[in-house]
Amino acid sequence: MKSKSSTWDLVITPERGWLELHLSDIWQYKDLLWLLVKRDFTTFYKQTILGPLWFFIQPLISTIVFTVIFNNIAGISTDEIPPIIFYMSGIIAWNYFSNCLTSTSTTFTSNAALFSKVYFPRIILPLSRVISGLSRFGIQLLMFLGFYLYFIITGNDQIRPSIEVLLLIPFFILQMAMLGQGMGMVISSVTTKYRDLTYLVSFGTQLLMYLSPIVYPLSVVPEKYKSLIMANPMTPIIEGFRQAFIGKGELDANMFFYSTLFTLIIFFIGLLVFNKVEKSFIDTV
Amino acid sequence: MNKVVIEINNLSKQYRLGTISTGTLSQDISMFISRIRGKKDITLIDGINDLKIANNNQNKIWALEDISLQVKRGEILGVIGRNGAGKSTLLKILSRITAPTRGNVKIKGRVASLLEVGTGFHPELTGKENVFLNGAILGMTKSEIDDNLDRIIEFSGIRKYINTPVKRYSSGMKVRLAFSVAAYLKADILLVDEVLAVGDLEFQKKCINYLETEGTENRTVLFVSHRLQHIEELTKRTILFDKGNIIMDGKTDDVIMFYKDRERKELFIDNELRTKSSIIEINDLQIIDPKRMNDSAINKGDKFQISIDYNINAKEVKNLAFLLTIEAEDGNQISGTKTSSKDFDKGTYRIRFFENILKYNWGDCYISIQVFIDNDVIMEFKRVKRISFKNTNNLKLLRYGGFLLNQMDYEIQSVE
Repeated sequence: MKSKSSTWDLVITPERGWLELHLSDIWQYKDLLWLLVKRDFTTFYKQTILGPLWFFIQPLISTIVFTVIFNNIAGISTDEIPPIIFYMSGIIAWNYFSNCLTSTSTTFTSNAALFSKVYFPRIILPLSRVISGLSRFGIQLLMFLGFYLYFIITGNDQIRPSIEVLLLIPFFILQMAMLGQGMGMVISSVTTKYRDLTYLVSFGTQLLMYLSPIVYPLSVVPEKYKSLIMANPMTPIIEGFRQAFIGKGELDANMFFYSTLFTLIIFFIGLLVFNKVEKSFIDTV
Repeated sequence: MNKVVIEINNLSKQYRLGTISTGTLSQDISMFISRIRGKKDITLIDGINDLKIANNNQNKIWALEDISLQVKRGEILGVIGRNGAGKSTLLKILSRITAPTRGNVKIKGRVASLLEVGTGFHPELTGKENVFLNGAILGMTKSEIDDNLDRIIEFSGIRKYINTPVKRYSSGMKVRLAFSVAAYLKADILLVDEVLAVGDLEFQKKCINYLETEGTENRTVLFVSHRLQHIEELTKRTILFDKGNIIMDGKTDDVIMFYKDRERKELFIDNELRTKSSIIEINDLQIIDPKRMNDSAINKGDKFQISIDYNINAKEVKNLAFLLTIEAEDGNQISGTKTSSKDFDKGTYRIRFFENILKYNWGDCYISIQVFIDNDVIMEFKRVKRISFKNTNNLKLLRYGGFLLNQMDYEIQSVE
């Protein structure tokens, strides 16, 4: 054969090395990514009465419930921050993270029918979820800013935004996306064989929420539990959010670097496992 | 022009049954533990037959075994074979849905696969939005879809409904839209699996015409279908799969002829094994066409007989009846004759069915037989023999003509 002169565009082989990530394929499918983001966004509120209002309702009601239960009834301190601001900042950040995590974690199992019929880089799907979640997060952040400005205008002197930390907000958002997607990719890869983890995910994220300083400030945590709460990579992010907008929260360089490193490692592991599994998961799903 | 665009070298794909996983972690752990302790695994379940298999080595199935193949640019290659012969596995590997176990595939150019129509259609989105989504899933860029949008909508013939959510579409409309998107795929290699089977006849014709003419300049197509007719119309070269191997590769006419012949023989053998009865035994089934030799196609307009020889082994049988059906390749029943119940003594008999009406237009048809006692089926031969009809007299051809069941006259006689 004249095989030496020919150059092949695609070579399909049994094994794929751990590091062959083919990330350039994603660029080739950028239009698909964009269309999936648009699809998620437009189908979210089709055939609902309240439509896009749902983006606001859920965090708003959660905030009210948290205020009543944890602040008014249980009497947990909010560090003298207005409870609405305190809880809402935690809730919308947490929502984005858990959204990224849960939607990524079902990538393989809930799209098996689609994946068994057509090839595209599988990572496009979780990526589209993370991006469409970002737009939802953006809308909720605007709502938060509305309340936030109201308290500033009415002269609440407990709110002192810290400009340096505010500049880190985009970084925090990226970190939440990567952490959520990274963990989600690991879980979705394992659930192709073991469905048990699916049940664990929704339950687990709920538990993890209580390990994050969302319904309580880190400052009230007793010393013996503190290291446990600090081990949660979401803790510095939530605290960072409060530090940025309100000026209250515990965030030091060590926590920050720990959580950044944790995120990068999880994301990288997720990417590798996902990449390995996507090649023939359809045989085992 | 004769450049090889797909080169498949010693490709194999193995599926493991049972040992992959039991589905839950706890069972998998107990399976793992019992395997370490050398016990027979109690949770092992065969995914297809629900049979318990004791030996691990038996859980492996080679869906493809050492396949090598080259396809040149512009070639339309037909792929035929029974269910589970490996056709779809090959397409899945070529479209990168799953990875091979051994061997490799080298491909030149952009590959698009059409293993299902309307992959990724979202019911809440409008037809137009779905054109974009579906196109992108199949690998088109937005600007390519933009350029072809008008032609895609035109081809589908559902312009009126293009801004309606797809969930309000009939299944036929969905197929039309989906195929239209696929028709304008800008791919060098197109993998098509059985998608033309859906959709109405008129649209099927349109698609085939499209694939035959505009679709093929420099485009390589791998076309899997059970409709041999479509393969015949579209392809010049065909490969035949059987149990994971390519057992024939050649001119479409030759391969199809070989396949049909083989199928008929195997049908007969397969059926014999499953259809023993202590009461009755069928010895022979013949198609008697006075003008032609047995087994060749019957000309439309000719009369023919179907004769069945059988033994009654029991001393006396009451209320025995036969049902003889003829169905087209697609399962459309075109003739069904049930004899009235009769009592038989031990002996050898022959039943002859006479066809006089002669309205068969179907090409290849199959004969099935059922034997009843007191209206219960005691024996069944599904598609036991092929019977072909052709139209050299050039009578008007209505391929999907009537659905009226044709009744035949029959006669039973004792044979010494």
